[in-house]
Amino acid sequence: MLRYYLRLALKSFARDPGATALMLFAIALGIGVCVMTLTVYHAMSSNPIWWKNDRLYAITLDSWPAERPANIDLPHLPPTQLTYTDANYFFNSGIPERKVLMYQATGVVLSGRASKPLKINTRITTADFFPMFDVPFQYGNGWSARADTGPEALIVLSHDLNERLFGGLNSVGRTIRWSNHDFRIVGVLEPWMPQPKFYDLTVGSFNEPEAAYLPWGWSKALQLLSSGSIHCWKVEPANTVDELMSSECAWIQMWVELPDADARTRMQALMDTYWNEQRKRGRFQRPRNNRLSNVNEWLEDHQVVQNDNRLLVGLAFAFLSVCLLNTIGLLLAKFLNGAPVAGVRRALGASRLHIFLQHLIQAGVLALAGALLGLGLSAVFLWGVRILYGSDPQTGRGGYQALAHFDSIGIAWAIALAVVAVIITGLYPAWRIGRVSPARHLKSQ
Amino acid sequence: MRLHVRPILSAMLRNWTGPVLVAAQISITLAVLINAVYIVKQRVDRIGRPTGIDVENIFVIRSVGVNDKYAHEAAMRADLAYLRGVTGVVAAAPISSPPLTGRGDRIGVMLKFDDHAHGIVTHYYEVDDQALAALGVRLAAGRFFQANEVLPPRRTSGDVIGAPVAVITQALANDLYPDGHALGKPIYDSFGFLTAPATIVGIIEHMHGSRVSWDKFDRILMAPRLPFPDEPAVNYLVRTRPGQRDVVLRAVDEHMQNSNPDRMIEWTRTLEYLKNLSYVADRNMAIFLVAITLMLIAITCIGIYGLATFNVSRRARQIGTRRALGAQREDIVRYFLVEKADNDSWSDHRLRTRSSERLLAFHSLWLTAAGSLLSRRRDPDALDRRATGRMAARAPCRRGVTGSGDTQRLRAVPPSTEGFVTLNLPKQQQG
Repeated sequence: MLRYYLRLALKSFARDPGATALMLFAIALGIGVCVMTLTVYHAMSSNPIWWKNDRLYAITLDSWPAERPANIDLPHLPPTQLTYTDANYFFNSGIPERKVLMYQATGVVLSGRASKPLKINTRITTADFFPMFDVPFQYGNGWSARADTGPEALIVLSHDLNERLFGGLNSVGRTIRWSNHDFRIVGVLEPWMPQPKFYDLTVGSFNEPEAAYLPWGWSKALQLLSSGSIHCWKVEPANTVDELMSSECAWIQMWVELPDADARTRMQALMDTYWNEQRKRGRFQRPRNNRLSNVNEWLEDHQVVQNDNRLLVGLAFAFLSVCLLNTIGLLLAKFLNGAPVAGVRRALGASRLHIFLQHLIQAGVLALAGALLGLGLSAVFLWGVRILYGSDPQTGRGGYQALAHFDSIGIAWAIALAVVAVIITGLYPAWRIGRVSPARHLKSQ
Repeated sequence: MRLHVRPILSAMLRNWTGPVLVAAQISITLAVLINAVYIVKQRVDRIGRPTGIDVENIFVIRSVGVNDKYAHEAAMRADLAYLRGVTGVVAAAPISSPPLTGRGDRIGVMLKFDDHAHGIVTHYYEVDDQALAALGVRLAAGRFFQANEVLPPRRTSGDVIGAPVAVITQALANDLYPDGHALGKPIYDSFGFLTAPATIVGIIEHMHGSRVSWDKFDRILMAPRLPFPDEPAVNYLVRTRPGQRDVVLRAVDEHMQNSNPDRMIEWTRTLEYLKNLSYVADRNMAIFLVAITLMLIAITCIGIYGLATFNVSRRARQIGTRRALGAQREDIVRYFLVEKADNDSWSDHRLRTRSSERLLAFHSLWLTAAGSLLSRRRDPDALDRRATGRMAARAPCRRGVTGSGDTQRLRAVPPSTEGFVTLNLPKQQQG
């Protein structure tokens, strides 16, 4: 029966190619636009390390002066980064299973195949960065905690940088010159692109991860200033790393891994005790706001998804609904045009349900074809979005660097929307035609 | 003029599905259209704000020291001497971060020392005496820096010497001194980049800073100092004579790539390009909204076209009969336009035509363009084209008239009934 109905559906479409094309086009366009905006929205709102959402926490606390919040636009939040004093205290507390201190700096690399010097973003971080954020290694591995304090002249390269410097060969053990100092390569990452770049939102939420990683101790040893954000409020010198380390400026990102609720409670208690103690010494004049934020909370607090994107998703659905309304109209017209035939079929013994099903299947075929076409369209749209938002990697300015690659989520959405399309567009017209009275049409024949 | 509401309503009540679908489509389309127009206007206005800077004639070169032989100050002086000698260059100056590019330093400034409760956050630029000319901004009052006031870079020596003079924008002056007398007044900063206090010696009429998405984008303070950001790097602003920017850019870039082996030219870009990148989200939002709205209008148009087609094609046999009995094509078109409003009779067609036209015009107000395209294809002969709103509905009406209606529809039974019916059905009655 199903195959027969399918055959009838195809025949009926073939008889009416113009109207069919219109309906197909409307459904495809509606689904295509929806899938495009949803894919972008999904890429922006996703948690790139969801499997550790109950373990990873960003530490922040409000060290700003009593008179004003760190961020006027988000006054309920403490500054996104920590002062060296606070970060160092929590780092040595011993409660977290893993912990990282970090910031971004820039360096110039002179090595390997590159004939010209290469300026790269570099993350100055502690040893736990790699295991804590589940960073995948292609060759070698990270460094030990001892290398941080030394500091040992070790460096980890991103997949992309290794590709550019060494043509993707195993470069572990080789030495490269980074800002006038020699560093030995201990690890090369696999392609790794967490989107959004949750662990440091100060240098662009959708920028690529840094091209290289250096042990924390080099911050002081080479006086590497942050190329991200250094946020200060007090009148004090902050021209060198030494000056920054003793200042009230916030410039260090800190994340900890707390395996269970107990560790979390102890960490929170430690922060509160520390806060009380420091307040007695005259710091922390604002209301207590000691936060342990998991990745979801962190991304939400810092409004990584812009309102524009929400608006576009809403708009896309409004568009889809108009497309579907349209298709209802056309489908209704098409079905009722065939009412005499349905009347004959009824007279020959087909039940209302059969007529209904036959037409619903017609609508289903249409919606499915529309969804497939829409999926293709959305791939084209996304390609357009990538061009529109194309950033300039050399100046590090402009749109999103790697957003909106097409993924399985898009396909899932297209299928879901196709089902919705069938239900919305098919039900009413099929019901109407099912109710057609056979007598009237037989008479008119 | 009388509006013939009653016949329109009665027609709608007779068959409510079509009008409801059309009304829903049009209301969503209208809602989207109105909001889109509002937002697009907002974005376009934002992108078009006057910057105060001679954006079209400026390009920016970023130079970074790459080895330990690199001498920041000497390299900068050599580069500036070269740039100022190139023909076509109006002015060149170093700046700590280029304006309009999204990123840049901000500091707090105050009227009293360490009064951070009343600190005002502002863009902060380190420049030399040529920056005013290199940016193409105008002074509203006072003077700009003199060559002998320009201090050596920070971070090269241990102690930072504060700058005794500063130039600010009118916007910052208004926020600091609402009474309008900022010139010659003292000012304090939060990092000791200025002497405590420094004197405001000049006020810039209007200029945008780096962070264009910040609502205080026009608060700027400049200090006379050779720049040294977080790395041994410098941005040169080069302003050329009108029309010569791209030529000068290529020549300068080529020369500077090789002029000093101890540094690299990280990038060379026009300020226009950098500015556009800063507004990319606004521009794209406008593009998306316009595109979606246009598609929406097109789809709504197609929808109404489809519904009208339905109404007409249902009556194809009747049309065929009437054509066979001698009715003109125009009579049929008029009949359907009238019938949309009232089924009783079509004798008083002139009057009725108007009211039905209004109904159809309402349906297809948004669809004029597409509708006329469709109708023009089929209809080279003369029908009243004044009410263009009718076009979308008229095309389907015409389709009922032309096509094969005259012959095929008069035939007794549709030749195929889905390959299912093999009965001999009675001959058709007259319509």
